Amino acid sequence: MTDFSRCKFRGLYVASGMRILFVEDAAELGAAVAGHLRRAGHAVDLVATRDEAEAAWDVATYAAVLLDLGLPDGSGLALLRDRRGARDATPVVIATALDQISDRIAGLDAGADDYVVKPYDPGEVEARLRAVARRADGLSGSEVAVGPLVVDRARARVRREGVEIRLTSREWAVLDALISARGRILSRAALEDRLFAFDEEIAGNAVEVYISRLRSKIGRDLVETRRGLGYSLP
Amino acid sequence: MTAEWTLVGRLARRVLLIVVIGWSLAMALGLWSLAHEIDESLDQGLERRALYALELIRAGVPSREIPLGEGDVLRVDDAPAPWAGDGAAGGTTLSWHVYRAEAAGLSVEIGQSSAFRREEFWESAGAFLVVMIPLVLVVALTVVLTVRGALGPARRLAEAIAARDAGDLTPLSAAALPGELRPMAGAMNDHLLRIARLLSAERSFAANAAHELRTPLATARAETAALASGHGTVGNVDRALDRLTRIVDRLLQLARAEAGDAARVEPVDLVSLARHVLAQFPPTVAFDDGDAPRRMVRTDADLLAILLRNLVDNAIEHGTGGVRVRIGPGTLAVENRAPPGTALRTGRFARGHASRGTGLGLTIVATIAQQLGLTLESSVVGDRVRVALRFDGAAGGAASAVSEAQDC
Repeated sequence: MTDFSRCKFRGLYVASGMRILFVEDAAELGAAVAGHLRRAGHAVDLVATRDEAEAAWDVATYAAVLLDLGLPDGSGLALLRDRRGARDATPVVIATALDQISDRIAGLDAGADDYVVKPYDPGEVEARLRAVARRADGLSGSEVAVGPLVVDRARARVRREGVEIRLTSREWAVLDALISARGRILSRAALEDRLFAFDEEIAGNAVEVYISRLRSKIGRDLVETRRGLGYSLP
Repeated sequence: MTAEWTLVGRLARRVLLIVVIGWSLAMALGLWSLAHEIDESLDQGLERRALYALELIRAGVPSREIPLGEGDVLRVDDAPAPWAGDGAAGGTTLSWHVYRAEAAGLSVEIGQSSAFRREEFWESAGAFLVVMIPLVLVVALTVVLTVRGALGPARRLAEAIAARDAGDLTPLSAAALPGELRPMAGAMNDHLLRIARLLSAERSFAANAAHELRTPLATARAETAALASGHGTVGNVDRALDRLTRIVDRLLQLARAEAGDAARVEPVDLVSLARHVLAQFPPTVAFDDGDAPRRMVRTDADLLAILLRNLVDNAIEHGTGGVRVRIGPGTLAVENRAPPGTALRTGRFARGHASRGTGLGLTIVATIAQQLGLTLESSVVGDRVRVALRFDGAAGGAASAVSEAQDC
């Protein structure tokens, strides 16, 4: 289930090391994963408690933090909330044994950039740390800028000035097709093909309906209509 | 914690209070009418003796020889007397009751002091109090004994529960219990039943888990041995560990599914939940939200997420080609293509010979669907497999009808 990100990132950026804060109270696991990260070229500060994590976080600037949630002297989640409350935007990947969807949602809501569940593959964790660090720097590998929008094509997410815009899967399919054909004109028939993937039968004006809904959500002027030819994104 | 109190004590106090108040009211009424009667009869005596005294004086009997009643004071003509005025035609001043008789220029007054009358009154009232005190004591004792007897079944029920073995989960007998205690015994029995179910789920889970983990552990051990002796590959160990991980995940999920009594039912947005679950899968799993920004259902988000993960895992593992998760009005469906002759196996640890799965996925799915009161429909038509969860019409289940909210 995670092979995708591994294939995508492993080996691409190995040359550039990052400074990583690794908060993990299980000594053996901490040492093994920290060893892996160091061999991948990163500088890793391994700490085992919330207090140590706070002390380290206060004095150093990290490219990313790998955070366990169940710490002996407090919750990693509370630590993360404190940091986000203090407007600290350091990218954080939560690595925990809590695998329920409500834990994941709580972690992401608290401000985590990614969430991996134990037992995890160290290679995959490294790839995710790189991805969140890159995204904090600017655009990550799967993100493109469209006017004022930042579109993450791998995660099917659209943000405008940091605020997420919720698209339905059909609206997303139309936007994604337009981005793929960026700079070119995409015919109405090509967009209809995309919508056919959802329903065998679609209404005659389906393309117009979704283009109009998309415009009302992402901005009127972003999608251009080329009369008689189709649509395009600037 | 509040101070300890007992039903016997509370009941006895209240009954006694009511008896004392009632008795006092009755006594006050009785004393009031007693006072009235005493006054009346003493007044009559006064009148009689005054008339008699008048006759005697007219007949020339000296006033000191005239017979008087107890507490009487006699006044002839305008002799000095402890009361003021002439008490014309009898009457009552503040502290004296006086009767006056007159004939042919002669007048006689007989008076009685109020203090004397009060004394008479309290003498009679004392009898009431003397009767009341032992009566209150008798009522108190009766109430305490009766209530204590009536609460015997509750005490015996508590003793029966306290005397049980830790492992004794047989239901309590409610036959001999009074109506008030039956709901309590019933609730206790329901609770015992739930515990028994959880215990047996836990036992079978532990047994199955230990059994199921042996094979992949043996494989991992063999692969590490091979690696140590310079044969084998790291990839093989990795695969064995992957498989172990998968089994542990599923066993944990099964445990959660079977302990579904702990389900936390709340409004859940299916679209957002599915997106969160599918974010953990490769993007080859397509998602169709049915063009609704939100679909709210009342269910347990964590259990539903486990269910969906297992359906998608199952579709990826056994299907060929892409998997599609589709949300429609009141449904959540997973669709994929599969080799002809595919059947869905839902028995625990049941799997085809060639299967790489744990044989738990669909058991977990079925268990959770039942716990959440969802209808599970599966269909295999040709090479298209579709498993759908239905959220509506789940009467009595933990999930209830779907509502849609459009926000644009």
